[in-house]
Parts: sequence; structure tokens; C-alpha cells
Amino acid sequence: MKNEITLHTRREFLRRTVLGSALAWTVPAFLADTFSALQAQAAESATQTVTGKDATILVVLQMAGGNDGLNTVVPYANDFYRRARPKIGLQAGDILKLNDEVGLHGALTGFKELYDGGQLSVVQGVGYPNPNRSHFRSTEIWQTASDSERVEKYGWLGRYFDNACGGADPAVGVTIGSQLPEAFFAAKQKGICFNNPQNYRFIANGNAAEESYRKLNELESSGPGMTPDEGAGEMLNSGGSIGQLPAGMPMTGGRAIDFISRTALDAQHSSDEIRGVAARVQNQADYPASPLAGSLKLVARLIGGGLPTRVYYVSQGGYDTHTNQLPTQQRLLQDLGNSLKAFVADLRAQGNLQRVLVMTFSEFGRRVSENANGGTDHGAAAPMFLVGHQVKAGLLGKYPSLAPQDLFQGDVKYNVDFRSVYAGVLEHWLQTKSLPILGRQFPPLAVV
Amino acid sequence: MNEALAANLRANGNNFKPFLHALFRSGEFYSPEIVRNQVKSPVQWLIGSVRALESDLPPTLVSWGMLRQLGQDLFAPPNVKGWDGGVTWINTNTLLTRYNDAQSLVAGTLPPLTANDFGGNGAGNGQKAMNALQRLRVGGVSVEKILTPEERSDNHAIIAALQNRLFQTHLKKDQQETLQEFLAAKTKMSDADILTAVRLMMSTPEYQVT
Repeated sequence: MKNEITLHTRREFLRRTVLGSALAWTVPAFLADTFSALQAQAAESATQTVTGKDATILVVLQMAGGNDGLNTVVPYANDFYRRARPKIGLQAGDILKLNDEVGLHGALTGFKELYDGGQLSVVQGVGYPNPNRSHFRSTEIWQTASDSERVEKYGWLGRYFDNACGGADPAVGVTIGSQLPEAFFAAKQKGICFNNPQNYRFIANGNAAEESYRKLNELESSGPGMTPDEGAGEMLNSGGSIGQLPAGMPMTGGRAIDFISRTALDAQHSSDEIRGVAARVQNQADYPASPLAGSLKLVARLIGGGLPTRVYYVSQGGYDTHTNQLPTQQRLLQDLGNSLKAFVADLRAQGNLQRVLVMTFSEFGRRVSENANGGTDHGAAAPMFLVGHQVKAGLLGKYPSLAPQDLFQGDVKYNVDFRSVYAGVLEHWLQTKSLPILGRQFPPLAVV
Repeated sequence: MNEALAANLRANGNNFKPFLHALFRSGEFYSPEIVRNQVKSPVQWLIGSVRALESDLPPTLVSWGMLRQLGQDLFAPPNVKGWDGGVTWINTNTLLTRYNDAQSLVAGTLPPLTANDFGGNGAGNGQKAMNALQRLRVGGVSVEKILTPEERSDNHAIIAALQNRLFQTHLKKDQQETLQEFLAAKTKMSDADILTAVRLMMSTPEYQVT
């Protein structure tokens, strides 16, 4: 390692100082040695040093359970559709027409307004080769952006943090919820999660206890030699390893206590930051009363407060509609559309709408034919939604054919690989190269 | 190691006594890669804590809420694979929750649960659980049970005894000093101060491993 301190550019200076202070704040001493390695890595990589005022922000919204794409973006004029869904098929009168062939589910009035205002794009027929119909496995595939037959250790957003946000604030990724999604799993920079900012803190009985807690959790870790496990058990994607890191960058390897010590520091730092922001910023739009809206309200406040977060993650559950689908999906989609409409209005009032892109996904769509219980079973490709001021509004991709000879085992075939959408978001929105994150070059979809 | 133990088992006619004898006396069993390198699961954390503190398990609804918040909704794993375990139990949220639930166990107060922690969809069930929660009590810890009068005699003895009880090993020197300072600042030390020290010891990365 060269020990040169000569600064060549202003950019370099910023990178050094920002990285340096963030590290001093959050990283235990066992990592200090890798500080200079990180510097060197930053100098030649895509490491992004950004502030909470100017950077673009991605909000990922998971529709958990497998949303029925066919009844969300409805091919109302299609004979095959009506034949496959005699009971739960939606009629032309039930839907919000987008053109002569497709329309949005009638509950998505919020989305229709966004669509008409040029703030919504619908990516049709998104999926991946050899689709898996298990909730667990298919969610994992979407979260890690892996091929269907491969298992990846880290999530796609975790690899983005590792590759492009080295040494950033621990709040670079924020999940509203009690568990970190697999998409955030990372070698170094894994993001944080919480569900209630009021309780996201050390609740102390007295100042002395609070002070002692800080000291007890600020001490350097004393583990013996770290054994980096980079690459261990990690499978290679065709075309190279996903998110490969330089050798000798310890983080997940080594002793559990070191991992916990680092998490303790991240928790301490981020809880101070987040509680401050959450208390200071007010929402400026009327949201529905739902858990999803609650999460989005919080995200809007955190954005308004200028957290340096690049990715927020929220989720909405309940889409596994095997029985009596119509009322359930009606309720969920209405909540989805109205919550996002309010979120957009809130961000616009703040003046931050230009900086934010929302992307929805669900682990799979459902089968073309309805089942005997007024529901639908696990299927394959489905639409994704992108919401924002700068999106390529309208319909993207091609609606999958419903003709029986075009189906695979009763499911629609995908036209757009979901990793092309990820690549588009990474390259065109987060402004970073997608290859090191996704492991292969997928044609980036023009999302903005 | 495995081979040697297997040979031992075979040589002794599959008798477990000499096998375990060899296992527990091996250097590997106490190597630094093994000892205190396992993250306590939420259940291990909760049961282990009430055992170490000689208190009672909180009422079912409280325990259930705590375990859910800590990421282990008992008998309802996230999928057929079960919980991943290990360091995946720990994130910024679950770690702070462990620290705060420690206060609840030690002081006998309700943990900071919200309707969301009990709810699936809709606020109904969560709110019902919250109402039921208000009628419940958490036992708390009695200082007489965990410290003898001699152990209470001075701050060093208190920290040493509690350390033994909670960690079966030493905390780091700076951590011990922090705890000494905390107790030293109390002019007239009450049970509550000692219990706060217990909570502080549980609010460390070290307490999360075994």
C-alpha cells in the first residue's frame, strides 16, 4: 500500500474526508487497518459520496405473496383471458382503461392519476428463466438477482452498497420493518432496519445509564485474528462472481462478536440520527390508514430530513390469493395506489419528488386460469410498477401472450428479465455500473 | 478431531461415556474459534436470561411479543427452511430491542411493544393484544437472589459476581471500568442501581453470544 497523501482532485479530497469521518464514527478498530485499502478501492471504483440533499433515491416496495398480475394490469379485451377466468375475470366496466387492450384494476385509481400525470410506468411481463413457484425460493431469486438454479449469498441491494457506497453512513439502506430483507444482505455495508422510530433507541432510565451504554458499546472489539470468508461458499454466476470484493476485506468473516460490535455502533449512530429526523419533519399529504401508508409516511419524513439514504425498502403483504381473490386484491391494490399517490404528493410538497423513484415487485404472478375457490395459484411473470417524476411514463415491455400454445405449463412467459429492470435502475437512476452488482451485463431498461 | 472421536467411539463399543470424556477434555473443544462464538437465538436469549437472573418467564403474550420482535416467532418460522440463525439474528433493530427487553426483564416493566408487533393485517388483532398486554405484569429480578450479602459488599465484588453469573468470563477491562464508574457515582446504592448495572451488562455485544 502506497502511503501518498497527495490530493489530485477536489473529488478525491471529498471522498477521503467523507470516508474518513464515516469510518471513524462507525467502524471498530479491527477495521481501521482496512481504511487505507478502502481508500484505494474508492479511488478507482464507483464509490459514490453523496449528501442527503442531492442524491437520487430508490424506494423498493415489495408486494409479498405473489400478486396476480393479470387482474392488476388487465387484458380486458383478450378472449383467452375471459375464457381462463369465467368467475374472477374483470370486465371492461370494472377497470381503468389505459388503451384498447389493457387497463388497470378498478381499485388503482391512485395509479391511474399518476399514469395520466406522467408519473407511472408499467413494465409488462417481467420474470426470469425457469421460474420457481415457491414463495420462499422465488423471493430469494428476486432479492439476490440470481439465476433460478443458483444460490447467492448477498442481496442485490447489498451488493450495490458494497460496490458503490463503501464507507458510507450505516443508514445508506433503510428498511421499514423488523427484519432486514435478503436484498440487503451484504459483505460490508448492510443497511439498517426498524419499524418504529420512537423505540429505535436505547431506552435508558437516567442519563448515567445512557452514558454507560454508549461507552460499553463503543469499545473496540477484541476478537482474535479475522478470517475473511469472501468467496467461501459463494457460487459463481455465469460470467463472473457477483459483487466480488478485494481479498482481505473482513466483515462477515471472523467472530460473531465483531459483527455484533459493528452492528451496535451502527445502531447507536443511526438511532440518534433517525429519531432526530423523524421528530422534526412533518408529512404534508393525507395518507390512508394502513401499515403500508405508515411505512411510506416514515420514508417521506426521513427523505425530507435529509438522511443520506440511497435505498429505502418497504413491504405490503397479503397477495397470496388462493381463495376468494376479488375482495382481497381490491383492498390491497386500493391501499397500494392511494398510499403511493399520497407519497408522491408528500414528496412534491417537500420539493424532493425529482430525487425519488419507487419500484414495486412481487415474487411471482399467478396462473392464467383461476382455480375452483375463486382464487388463483402461484404462477410466473407479472408487471412491475415504477413511480416518480422522471419515469418513462406509460407501458413498457410487451404484454405476455395468453394464447394456450404460448403458455408454459399454464403460466405466461416473461418478456423482460427482472434484472434488466434492476440494471436500468442501477445505471440510469443510481448512476452506477450494473455489471459488478448483477454479475452479468443485462440490457438496462430505460426506466427514466 | 472427528476421526479420532469416531475411532474412540468404535474402540469403546459405541459407549458414550469415554467418548464424551475425550470430547470435553480436547483442546479443540475450548479453542477460541468455538468458545463464545455462537449468537444466542431469541429463545436462548430469553430463557437463558430469566434462568441466569433467577426470575420467571414473562407471561405468554409478553414473551411471544418479545420473541416476534427479536425475529423468532415461535412455531411460525418464515418459511419451511426455518430460521437462518447465527449472525442473522442480529441487526440494528433486533439488537436495540434486546437491550430494551433486558430492561423489561430486569426491572419488571412491560417491553416497548406496539400493536404492529402483534398484528398481521389490520389493526384489530394488534390492538386487542395491546389491551390484554396492559393487564399483564413482568416479574422482574430480586437482588437478594442474584447477590449474596458478601458479594454486595463493594463495587468490585458486585461486578465480579454479576460477570460470573451473566458471562462466565470477564468483560473487557474498559467495560469493567465503565460499570465501576457507573456504580461509584451512586452515593447510596439501591437495588435499582444494581439492577440497572445488570441491564447494562446485558446491553453489550458480549451478552449476545455464548
